[in-house]
Amino acid sequence: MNIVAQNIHFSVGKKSILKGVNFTAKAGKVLGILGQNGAGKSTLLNCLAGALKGYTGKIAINNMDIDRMQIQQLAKQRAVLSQNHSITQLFKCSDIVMMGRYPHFSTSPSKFDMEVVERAMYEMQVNKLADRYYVQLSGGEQQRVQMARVIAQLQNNHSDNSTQKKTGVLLLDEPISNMDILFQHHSMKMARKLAKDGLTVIVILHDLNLAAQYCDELLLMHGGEVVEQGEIEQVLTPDNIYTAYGINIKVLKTVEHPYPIMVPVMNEYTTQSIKI
Amino acid sequence: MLYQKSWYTILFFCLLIAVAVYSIGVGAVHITPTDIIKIFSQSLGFAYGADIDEGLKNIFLFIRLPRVVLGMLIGAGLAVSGVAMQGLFRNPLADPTLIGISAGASLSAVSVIVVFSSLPFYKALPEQYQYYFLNIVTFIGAALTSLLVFRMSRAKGITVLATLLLGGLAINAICRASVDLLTYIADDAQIRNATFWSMGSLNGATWVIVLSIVPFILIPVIVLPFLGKALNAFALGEKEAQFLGVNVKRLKLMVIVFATMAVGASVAVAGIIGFIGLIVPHIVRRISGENYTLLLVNSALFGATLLTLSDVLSRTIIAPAELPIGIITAFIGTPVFVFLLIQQKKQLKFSL
Repeated sequence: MNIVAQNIHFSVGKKSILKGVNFTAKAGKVLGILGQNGAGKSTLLNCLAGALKGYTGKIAINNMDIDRMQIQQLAKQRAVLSQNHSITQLFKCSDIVMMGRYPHFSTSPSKFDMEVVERAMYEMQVNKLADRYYVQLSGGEQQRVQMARVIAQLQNNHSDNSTQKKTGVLLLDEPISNMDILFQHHSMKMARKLAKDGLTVIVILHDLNLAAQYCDELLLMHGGEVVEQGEIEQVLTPDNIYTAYGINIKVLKTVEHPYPIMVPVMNEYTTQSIKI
Repeated sequence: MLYQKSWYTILFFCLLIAVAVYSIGVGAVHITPTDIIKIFSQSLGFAYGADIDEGLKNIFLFIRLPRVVLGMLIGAGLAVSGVAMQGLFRNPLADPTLIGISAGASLSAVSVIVVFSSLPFYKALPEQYQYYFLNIVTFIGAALTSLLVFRMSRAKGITVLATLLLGGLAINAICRASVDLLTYIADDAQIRNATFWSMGSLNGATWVIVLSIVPFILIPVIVLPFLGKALNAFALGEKEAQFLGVNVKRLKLMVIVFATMAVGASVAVAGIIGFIGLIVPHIVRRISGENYTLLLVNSALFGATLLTLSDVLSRTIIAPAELPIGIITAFIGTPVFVFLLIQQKKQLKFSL
């Protein structure tokens, strides 16, 4: 499934947050969205998710305008992992992951639903936490559980063959912000694997190096506008990074690492806005 | 597992029947389970039980039974609306009494009685219709109050617990003061005393009263469990529920309508009986888990049980006088409330 955004504008009151964003995310690819805090990344993702109304422009999944799609229909085709969760009830982790199956069963989950949940928990390595209470987990563990939930949501019904092509759009808003380094890489690998299985993955990231390593394409934003979009090496240049973040970086390349590695230029932490 | 099958519902049902039979028996005249069987048998025209005492039968049919049935209905209604409110506010501390919905209902009930009881057209209505009218008005009062609290307590789709409880405090204060004022200026014939409205009572239960609230209680008790699955998803967050395909707007509207319907009717006929919506779901959650479908069904059964038991206490502790039932539920409920408050503080969810 392709998701196409055309000339997206969004404003709250007089403040305009998105100023004409255009892009296409293709099935089988991971699209990374990068940018400063407040650059409009989450707002853009919420528009794509269908949670924000009142934007102008057009967002379409497989040429279907998302505003015209029923939310039940949408729920089977796109899953969203938000940045913040506020859960006060004592749900077990497996319960949270089972919520992902909500669009797929009517009153009680089938055996297939339970298998999907189990597999998703195994894939995010939270199977050992299945009976623990969600609220008692650490931030990183909670993110893994939530990731398992959205994975479970996009497993379509009655495909007993798990290697079968998946279809759907997966929207991830800073999915790894609280994870340790191992699970950051594990989760990003998982995102790649899901894309390889056929999903369209869009992920907001802050770590430029992880983005360089795991994304196929990038969208670099600043102040509600797109600074640059396209291939990794085209986007992650010192000039673009300075425009978007106001920090000077150096791009390194080594033989072992086929992707660019970005490090801040020493003694040049001075940014546009922060004077030390 | 959330969607595990559970036999607890049967257990709760048996407990309710046992408590109901016990409760019918307790009083100045003792009625044994055998007597009850005899009365039913005789009423159905069987030979067994033909020797039953007419006086005993009348006490059973016109004093004890309506009172127990009323208690069960109100208990079930309050418990179910407590669960629904907790689902709506996504917080186990939301209770119709604490957040001011019962007080809003009582104010509308008292206003109706004071304003309408002097009007000739209202007086001409049969008693049954007067109660229906009263129930509808209290329903509207309760619904308006809950909308107010809901709007007040939420920011960006998240319930702010402090505003929820403090807002409830404010609404409770103003509504209760207004009720006290109205009962103070009204003459006794128009209105029951202020104690009735603030502490509740099942005293004076008749079949007319019971029948008048049956639809207002049974509809929510039957319909709300069907919203259980959506409420489960709603517990993840309002936005998340929408992403999972829940029609959030419709869900919220339905919860408010059905939950306040039950609260309104029970306040109209029995005054404010607090904490049932807090204690019952709390205990039921511990026993049969967090799945809202089961929670709603089991809470209805257990709420009926608990209120019936509380009523037995209210009738017997200082017999032959009666203690307002709200006092008893408050004594059981407050520790539960404090416990939940401390638990939430520990989870650092206090500010959410």
